[in-house]
Amino acid sequence: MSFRRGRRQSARKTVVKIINSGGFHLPLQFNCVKPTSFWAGVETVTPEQIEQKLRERFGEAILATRVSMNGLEAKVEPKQLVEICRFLRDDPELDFNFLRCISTVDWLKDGEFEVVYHLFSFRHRHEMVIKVRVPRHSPRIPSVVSVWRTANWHEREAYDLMGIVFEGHPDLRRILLPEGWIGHPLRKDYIHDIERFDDEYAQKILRGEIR
Amino acid sequence: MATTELNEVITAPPRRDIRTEEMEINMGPQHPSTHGVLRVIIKVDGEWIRAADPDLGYLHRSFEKLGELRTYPQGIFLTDRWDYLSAMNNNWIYCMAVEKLLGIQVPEKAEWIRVMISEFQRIASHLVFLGTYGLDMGALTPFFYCFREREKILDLFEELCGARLTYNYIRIGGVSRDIPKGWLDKAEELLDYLAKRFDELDDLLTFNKIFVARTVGIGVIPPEMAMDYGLTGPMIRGSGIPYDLRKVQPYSVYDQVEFDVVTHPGCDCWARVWVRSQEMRQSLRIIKQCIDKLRTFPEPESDLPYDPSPYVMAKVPPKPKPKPNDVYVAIESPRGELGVYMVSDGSEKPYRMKIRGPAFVNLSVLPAIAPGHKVADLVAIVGNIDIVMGEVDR
Repeated sequence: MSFRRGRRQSARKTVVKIINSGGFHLPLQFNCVKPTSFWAGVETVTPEQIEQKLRERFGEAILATRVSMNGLEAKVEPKQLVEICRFLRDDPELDFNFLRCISTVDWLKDGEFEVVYHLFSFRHRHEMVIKVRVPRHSPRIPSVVSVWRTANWHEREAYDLMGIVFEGHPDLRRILLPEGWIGHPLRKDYIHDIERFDDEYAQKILRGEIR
Repeated sequence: MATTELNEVITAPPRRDIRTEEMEINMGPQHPSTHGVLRVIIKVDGEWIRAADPDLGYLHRSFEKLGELRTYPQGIFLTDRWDYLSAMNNNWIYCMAVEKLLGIQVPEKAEWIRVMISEFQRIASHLVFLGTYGLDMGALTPFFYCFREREKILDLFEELCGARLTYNYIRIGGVSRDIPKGWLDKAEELLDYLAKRFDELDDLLTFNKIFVARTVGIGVIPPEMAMDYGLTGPMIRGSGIPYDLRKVQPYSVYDQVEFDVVTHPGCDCWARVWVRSQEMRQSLRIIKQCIDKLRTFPEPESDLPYDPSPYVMAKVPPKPKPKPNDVYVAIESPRGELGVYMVSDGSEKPYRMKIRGPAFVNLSVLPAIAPGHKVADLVAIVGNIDIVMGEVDR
């Protein structure tokens, strides 16, 4: 047992040596953190306080609010979405620095798409939901990649499977389906068909015009 | 050449000012180090990577659409196939979402079984990671050791639910079957065995000098960047942020068990490997507490397989119809935050089921960290994200 420990110690020294030679001057600790110390002295914010802050700042852009199972749920105006998100991220008391998930729902009967943003704060450990509705005939919504970079792939997936166009997205391409696919499968009126691939696109690939 | 001159040549920093013509090449979809069918289109300048663009979708099976076409209990069968290395967690998150919508209270014994099984699954998944990651780095031996240990856990699972990979064990309202007699003793024996083997694995792989040299300082993700990209699991804990859903938002009975969140400030590939190897030890601690607790509950009355036991199953209607509502639930899977957003419209099928795969989100950081590395380091980075393509493509 003793020689094992010795070997591990020498390996640790190697780690330190390599890190120092590579220019990574981070304090090297091998520890198991008790998270209570990380969150010591951080005040929690109730859903009512978040709602009040939002209403004070944005007023009519907040269409409706309710307390859901995931904290405060706010339905907002699509035009103001990016400003609201940036406010939620930058406000020191709210500090929503983590975008957990972007989901899309097709409400066929209402003729609307719903985009749902689940937010979380690493520091304060509170969560909230933002919902945006856009009409089905022109599903265009501003992109939040400039606020959270994790939105990049979430939005590409939403575009791919639901066909919602995120304006201002740096690289809006299909992500799961091939580029020549016709239609968006998660829409409720999508009809499954065998021939769903664009023939012209396939021909272009065969001719070597597209990689 | 004198020795000193030779040393200077060897230790001189690589000359980044020499440029050659950039070349675009495919890594994958058939490549031994991509863990499935992942294609990375890389632009290389000699050996240096200038840009990397992952191309997904080769394993896309559209589980979100399939989930909408099935009733709630039928949907559990699909969940095993998302992330086939931690199928128990997938079962759990799906059932948890439906239970939240229905407002069902799960029996306490079932909750403890779920926690115990989930931690066993975490160990099994991390063992596969360590083995295959060693394989990527050229270490063949740890692979066999890891799979030998994992096999023992799978044997336990097989005795518990009859399956080794796609379990379908956790059901809406509880678990499908109570723990067989004598199972807990076997599990406890395995804990002692595994604790010794983890030390051996550390010597063999984690603190191996060649392995350390290949991984330290590679794929550095600063904490701010990790938060911005929404990384979870060992990826963010390897950057020093103690984000662990088991502590941050304790679900089930995680608020009653004692364990530490493992973090490392290294921010590189090696830090993440170390975090995973330590997490397995924390899982052992949790399982020990679960076994002690489970011994205090009454045993099943019969030995028949699939005998519905009231201790592990709540009363659930055969065709559950939740009221119109929506909920997002998340658990800490071995790869990070596994979430499900479920919308019900009052019918017996979910109106919408969105899966937030941790590996999918973690992989999105690759185009940001890969440039500036060599091609061989890209193998180290991709393997380190611990992707399971079944979950990335869904």
